[in-house]
Amino acid sequence: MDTTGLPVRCVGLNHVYEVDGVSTVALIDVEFSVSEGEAVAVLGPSGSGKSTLLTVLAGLQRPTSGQVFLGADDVTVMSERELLDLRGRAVSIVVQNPTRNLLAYGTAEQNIRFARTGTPAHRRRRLPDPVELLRMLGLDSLAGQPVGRMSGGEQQRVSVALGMATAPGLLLADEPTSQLDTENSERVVRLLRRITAEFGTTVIAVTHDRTVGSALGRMITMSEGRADDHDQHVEQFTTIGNDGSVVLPADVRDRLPLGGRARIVRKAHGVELIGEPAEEGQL
Amino acid sequence: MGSGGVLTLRGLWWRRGLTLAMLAVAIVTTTAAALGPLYARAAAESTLHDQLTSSGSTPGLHFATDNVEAYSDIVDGVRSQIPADGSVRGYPSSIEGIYTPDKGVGVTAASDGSSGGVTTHLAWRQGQCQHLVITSGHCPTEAGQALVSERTVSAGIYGFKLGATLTFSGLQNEVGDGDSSTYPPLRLKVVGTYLPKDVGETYWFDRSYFDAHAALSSENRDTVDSVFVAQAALAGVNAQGTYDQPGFEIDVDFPLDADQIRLSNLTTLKTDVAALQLKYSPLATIRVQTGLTGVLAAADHQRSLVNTGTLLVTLQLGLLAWLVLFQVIADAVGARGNEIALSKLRGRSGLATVRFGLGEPLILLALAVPIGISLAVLVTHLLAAHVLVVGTPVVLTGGTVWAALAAFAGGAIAAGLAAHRTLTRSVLAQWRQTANRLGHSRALLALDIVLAFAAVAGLVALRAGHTSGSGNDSAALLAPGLLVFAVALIGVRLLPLACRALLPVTRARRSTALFLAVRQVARRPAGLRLAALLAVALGLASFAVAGESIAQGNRNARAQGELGASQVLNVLYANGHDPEQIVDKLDPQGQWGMAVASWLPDGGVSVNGYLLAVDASRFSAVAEPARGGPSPAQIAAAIAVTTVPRLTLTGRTLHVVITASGLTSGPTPDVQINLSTPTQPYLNVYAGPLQPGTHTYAAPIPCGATCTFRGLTWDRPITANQPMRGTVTVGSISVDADQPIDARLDQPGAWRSAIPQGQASDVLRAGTDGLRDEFTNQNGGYGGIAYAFPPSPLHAVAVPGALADPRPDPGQLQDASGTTATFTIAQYASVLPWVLNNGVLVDLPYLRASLPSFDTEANWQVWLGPNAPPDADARLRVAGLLVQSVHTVSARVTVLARQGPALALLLLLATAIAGAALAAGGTAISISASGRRRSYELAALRTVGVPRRALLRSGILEQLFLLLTAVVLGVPAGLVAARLAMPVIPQFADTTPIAMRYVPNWSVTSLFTGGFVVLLVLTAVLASWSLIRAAVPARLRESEQ
Repeated sequence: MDTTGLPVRCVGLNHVYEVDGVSTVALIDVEFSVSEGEAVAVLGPSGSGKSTLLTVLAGLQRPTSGQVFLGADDVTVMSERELLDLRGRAVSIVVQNPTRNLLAYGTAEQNIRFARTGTPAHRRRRLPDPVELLRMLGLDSLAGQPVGRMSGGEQQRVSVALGMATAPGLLLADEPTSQLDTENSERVVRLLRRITAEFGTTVIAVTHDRTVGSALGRMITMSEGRADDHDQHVEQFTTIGNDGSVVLPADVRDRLPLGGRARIVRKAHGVELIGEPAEEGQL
Repeated sequence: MGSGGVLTLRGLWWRRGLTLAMLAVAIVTTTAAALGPLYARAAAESTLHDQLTSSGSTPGLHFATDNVEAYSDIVDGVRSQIPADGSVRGYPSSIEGIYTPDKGVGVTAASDGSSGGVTTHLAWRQGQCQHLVITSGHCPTEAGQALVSERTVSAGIYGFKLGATLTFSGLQNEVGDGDSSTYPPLRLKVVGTYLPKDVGETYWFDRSYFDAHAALSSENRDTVDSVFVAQAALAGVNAQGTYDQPGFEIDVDFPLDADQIRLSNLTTLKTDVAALQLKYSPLATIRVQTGLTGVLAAADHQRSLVNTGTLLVTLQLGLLAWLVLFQVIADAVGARGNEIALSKLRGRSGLATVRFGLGEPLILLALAVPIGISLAVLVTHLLAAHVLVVGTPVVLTGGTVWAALAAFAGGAIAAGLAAHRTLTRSVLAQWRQTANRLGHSRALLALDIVLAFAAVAGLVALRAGHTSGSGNDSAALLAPGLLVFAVALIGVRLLPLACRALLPVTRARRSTALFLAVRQVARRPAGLRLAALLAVALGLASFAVAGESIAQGNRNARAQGELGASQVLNVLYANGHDPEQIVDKLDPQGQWGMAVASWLPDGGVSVNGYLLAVDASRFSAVAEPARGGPSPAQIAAAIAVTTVPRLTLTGRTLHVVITASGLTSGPTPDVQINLSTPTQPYLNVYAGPLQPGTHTYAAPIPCGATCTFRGLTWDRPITANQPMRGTVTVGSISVDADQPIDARLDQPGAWRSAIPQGQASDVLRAGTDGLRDEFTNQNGGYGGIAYAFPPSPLHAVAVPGALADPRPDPGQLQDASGTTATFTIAQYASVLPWVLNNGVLVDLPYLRASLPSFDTEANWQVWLGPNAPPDADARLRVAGLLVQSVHTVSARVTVLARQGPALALLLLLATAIAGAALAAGGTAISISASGRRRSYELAALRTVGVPRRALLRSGILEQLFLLLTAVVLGVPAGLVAARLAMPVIPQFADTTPIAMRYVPNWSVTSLFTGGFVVLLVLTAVLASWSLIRAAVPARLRESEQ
């Protein structure tokens, strides 16, 4: 597949958004660069601004200030048409929920064809056949299956494969391993690395999971809207919501499953959550 | 098919439930659109057919040449100059006839040597005996033979009878080679008698073959029904030999075959007929007449009513369907929001995204076009089979296809508008389910204001139409829709306010279900759209059902008033049969049958309209009311007069014991006994001169069992020249000396003074010794005493417009024999059964007794009431009545229901049912389409511990709030619309004096709207239950960011 990795450079990115009259600072003076063909993980707790960063990189929203260069092009000054063209040609994004990446009623092959409809015809002709692409990514066994009937792991891998449907120079992935068990999570990470290694595509993946970050190589950490472009050990953080809600990191969710109960034990400097098995008949 | 097409089809299949629902709504929309033109066309065909068939011979072609002899070659000559049978479309065959037109010819029966004879039409008509009932003898087959009317014979006063020779004074038999002055008059022998099968039959072409009536003055002769002969009988007849005899008229009549006339060939028919009229108008020898233009103009009027009504009804349904479609597509496209966001995410162009977003609805809309047209054809076939004239064609026209395509275009616009928000918002906004609603709200507000103005304008128009009483404005059909739409769309805006007012209450009550339901309604715009939609559907349905029930009630009332009874049989009877006696015999209790005679009096000076003679003793049980007039019981009470019973004499001799005193000297009056028989209304029998003292006066009874005693006359001898006076006391009356009859001589009111002839007076007093009369007479006048049967004056109920103005009081009626009867108006009415606003009702037995010749002049009917046995018709036929035609209220209602305005209202009802189905479907689809998003919320609520039962209750409560709002807004709006609009919506193609009522049939209206509400509640409950089932905690994983 003929791809050329796209270098990424963020310069003085700031982004403030307003919800219900309250201004929230999402990005503060973010600056980093990613070379073409490089795989980077953006780590950080919920609310740290990493998803906002991803949507700005994809041109889905414009930053309040600053610049984003994809190659030589500044995304922040592109028109909507140019952005559409960019997403059809050079930038691909895999969002967190597979149902937002896939047409559930289409097969993997049909989804790839659908993903290419925004690509200019002359470029589309140079792309490999969808089945061939799936084969290259080791997913050829899923080519004819409707994705709505696939497992969560399979859907996520097909989502990543869809990200490569247009042979983009930059693949953005938002929490590509969330809701996956360890085995499937590893498969997705292997797939991302393969994309970088075999196709030279630049990959930026947002994740809570430090393991994923480690597997991809370079890590950029986000905290309260600021980016730290150093590969340093990062504690796992979570943010306490206004209503007291706490988002658990993905790798501990199997210990406190959805719908289960947790016993709260007060400690001197905080609280400890201890999972309890669900009672029969309970949700 | 490309991969995009396959993907779209897979998407449709993946969402097959929603797909089917959307397809169903699209099909209903297209069907509704296509149904309008199809139905309008079929209804117009039906009304055209009805108009043509009900017009009898009027639209037929009548070719005639006048003032000619009746030689067969003349008939052939006429034939050669006019179109051949079948050469003009719609006129496949013709009827030849020869006829003495205008005043007819004088004819004298040989046995009647004294009178000056009568006037009649001498006629031959091709196939005549197939349209006559030969009651005696045979049909004339050769020259010299005549067939005369049974009622001419049974009148008994003209000398017409089987075997008699008729001499025609104005016609001569051409015998020898001499000049016409030597020709003998035409003489024909009566070989048979007839009754017409149906005088209104098209075959007779409205010619006056059967118009027997009395002469208007003594200088003229009575006219009797036509004398029919064989064509050969006229071949050698000279018709121009005498003064005032215009000769024969040769007719060739082409009845119109309505089955051959369709809207598609109407233009050709008009052109052909116009060409014929143009061709023959310059000719002096042959003229052509037809009333086709007038009939077609009436049909055009009905068609315009159908077209306007249908268009307006279709527009309303179309608007409702469009709203449902908008709702459904908005929900369906909204449910595909993530897919549309994905399309943008993949860099597809705006056009490609629009194509992707609207592809599915557009495919369904396109698919709905042929299906909708087919369904519309099917529905129209069903309506045509059950409502329209049998055999009405259902024609697929270009208008139908255009209407279906317009529905498609409207659906596409609805899809575009509905999908606009989803298609134009950013990917992030789509993911976050947020949008700027300000513009949307402003657009809705503007729509509400426009609707409110339109509704007010509609109401003003309705009010103006109501005040002017025009009652003829099909455009008023649009006003109810406007009113309902305005009330619904504006009214639902109040619902969130009401719910917000409920918020504190729900907090206080601690009911989770109520708490959740109220908040959902308060914040959920889709729910308000649904409530508005349901309110519109309910409003239109209520209006349609109420309106149709009002129209149905008015059709029934009009049919009842026009006919007078459930069934009306037009009857003829042969000599020796009496309809009144036959009905009395078959229904002695007076529970179900009544003989009725209608008469258009041409004698007397008091009545301009119809006189309808009914039996007061049976009227209440048999007759139907004419709405707006008195009830049958009131009419019966008004025309019935308490009087003495009829005195029928049986025996050979009548004996009257009379005591005379105080007689003036000289000649004394002669005692005459006044009798009547069916054939001799005034039969006076001489009983000898009045003598002082008590004597028995005897006289023969010359009429056997059918003799009725009428009174006694003190007849002044012609030799008397001085005034006479005296006192007579009638002590007793008996038959054959030993059989006293109860003449009620001691009863006041049982006798009255006879109508004086000349200068005479009688003063009566009833006492124990008998009836005393102090009489005087002079100058040739005479008086007497009259038994008070029949009563005089007769009591009548009349519509003022049917009475002459001025008229004598009491009013006067005169029959063919010159006999007069007086009547007084017991009650005035604005409308009466059968005569409607142009007639007078009197009691039949009294009238017959008063005017003995009335029988032969009247047209007879038998009215059958609701309790009539099923075989009443057959019994009457067996008893000797010839039933010419049967008219029933139900048949009349059917005909009225086929008139243009009624057909438009019926379509409204059909569309209301379609609207109900649409609304129910829309409710289900809306709940289902929004189910995924709602299920996240509900799953979250279940996760935090809200019981499933409480969620189900809240879901149902929420739907019930919406439904209740729809009911509260829609049903009253529909009923108010019906009340306001029905008086100005035409219900009939013509006017009627029957009073219209605008109160719906509450049971039908309640049943329909109740059933509709139940259907919606069930839909809502099932949908809510389905939603709650889907709200499992695992659903939350899908919603996580």
